[in-house]
Amino acid sequence: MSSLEELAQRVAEGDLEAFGGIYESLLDPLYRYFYWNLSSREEAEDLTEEAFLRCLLHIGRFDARKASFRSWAFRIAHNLLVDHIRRGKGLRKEELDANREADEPPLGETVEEEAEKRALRQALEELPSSQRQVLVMKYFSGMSNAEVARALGKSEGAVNALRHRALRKLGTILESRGWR
Amino acid sequence: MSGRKSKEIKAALAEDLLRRVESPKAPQRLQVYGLQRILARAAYETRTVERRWFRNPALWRRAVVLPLTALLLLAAGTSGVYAASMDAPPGSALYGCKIFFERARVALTVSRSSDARLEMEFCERRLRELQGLPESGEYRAWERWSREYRRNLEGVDSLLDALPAEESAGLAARFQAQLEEHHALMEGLLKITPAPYLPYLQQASRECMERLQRLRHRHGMEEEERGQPRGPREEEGTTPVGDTGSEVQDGAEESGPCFPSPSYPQAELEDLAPYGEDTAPSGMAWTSDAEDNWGSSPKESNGVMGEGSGHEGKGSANHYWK
Repeated sequence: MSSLEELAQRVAEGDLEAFGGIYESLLDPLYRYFYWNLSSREEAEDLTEEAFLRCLLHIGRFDARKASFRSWAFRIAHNLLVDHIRRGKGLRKEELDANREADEPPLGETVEEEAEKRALRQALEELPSSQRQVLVMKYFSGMSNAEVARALGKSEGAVNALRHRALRKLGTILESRGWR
Repeated sequence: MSGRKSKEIKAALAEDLLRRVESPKAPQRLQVYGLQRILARAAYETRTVERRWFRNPALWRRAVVLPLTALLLLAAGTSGVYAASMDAPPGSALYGCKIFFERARVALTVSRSSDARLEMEFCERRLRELQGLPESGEYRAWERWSREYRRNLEGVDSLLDALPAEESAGLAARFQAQLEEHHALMEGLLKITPAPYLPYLQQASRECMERLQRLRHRHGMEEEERGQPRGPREEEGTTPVGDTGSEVQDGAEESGPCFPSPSYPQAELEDLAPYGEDTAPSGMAWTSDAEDNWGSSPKESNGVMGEGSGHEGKGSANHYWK
């Protein structure tokens, strides 16, 4: 299977079918990134689509020597998210509960799993944005520290420190809510 | 130490939860239709981007290159006309352009003294044109030349009046010297100019003399103010006129009967009507030997040019050209 960088190269040369491979590889990671950072699934879907669209439109600017394609795509996603939150459309607590109730739990998910997910989501909301994003990229989008660092424009050391601080704080929050 | 250990345990718990929780997959809508929608939107966006004038070469050409080219052509055309009109003699098609550019230059200067200098330069230019005029066979050229020359003189005069004394003194002296030269040259030309065109030259020469008289008068007053004695000739009430040796009476210097040619009575010169392009001057029947026609009134002399009405006739001009 071709790497994302090779696929990106082909797309830049006009082979739009190659974009299908990129889409397939990055759909879930990108969707999860938005899902854990935003209040509703609809918003996550919209931003995922928007992120792919921007990747496609600006794929000619991608330089494989500077970063992996995954980092580059997540950088675009991160910028989109920042813009979205800045426009006041990000996490809003009052909307969050209503949206969450409206979200139908996926089929086959047990009550316990649903409760875990809800508790984790509530705890993540209390983390600073930079810490939350590091955790989401690392654990839900399956990125390496180097890729997270590239996507967020930080050094690997800084990302590692952020991750440790985020985990400790998340543990404290979960414990304070009686989650062991 | 135990606090730190406890934090590490909490962190490990949180990490465990993060790994254990199953993150949702992208919804069906994105999986099935997402790619098609993205490709369709990308195609639309690309078309929109192409429609933006600064991205689209065709529109770029239309919006920027064409106006720029038009501007360049206009500039080149104007420069060409300017260069071509510089040597245009009065009466030629480009003479109007030459005068237009002169007026534009005067309008673009920032100070009155610069305006005056320019007008003086244009007076010089008129004099050079005059030396080419006798060969011309058209009244229009003479009429235009006379009009422009007088306008330049008037321009310098009014600007000198408007300037402060310290600024105008040097310019006035220069202008006076210039007019002396002009008058001397016109004196010479009056003797050889074909009769039909003579009134135009006489009118110009008279205006030149008037200005010259005024400048001399002014210069004399300034010298008096400075306590310098006036020259012996001025004290006598006569003023030298160029190199011709002609003299103008002291009492006539303000009112303007200053044309020095002994051939033509002043009263007749003042009767000269403004000449239109197609109208022969009332004095057109004059010859350099003016006594031939002094017996007839201007009405009688008008149109008495050889055999026809005459003012456009080449033969009639020759007839009076002695």
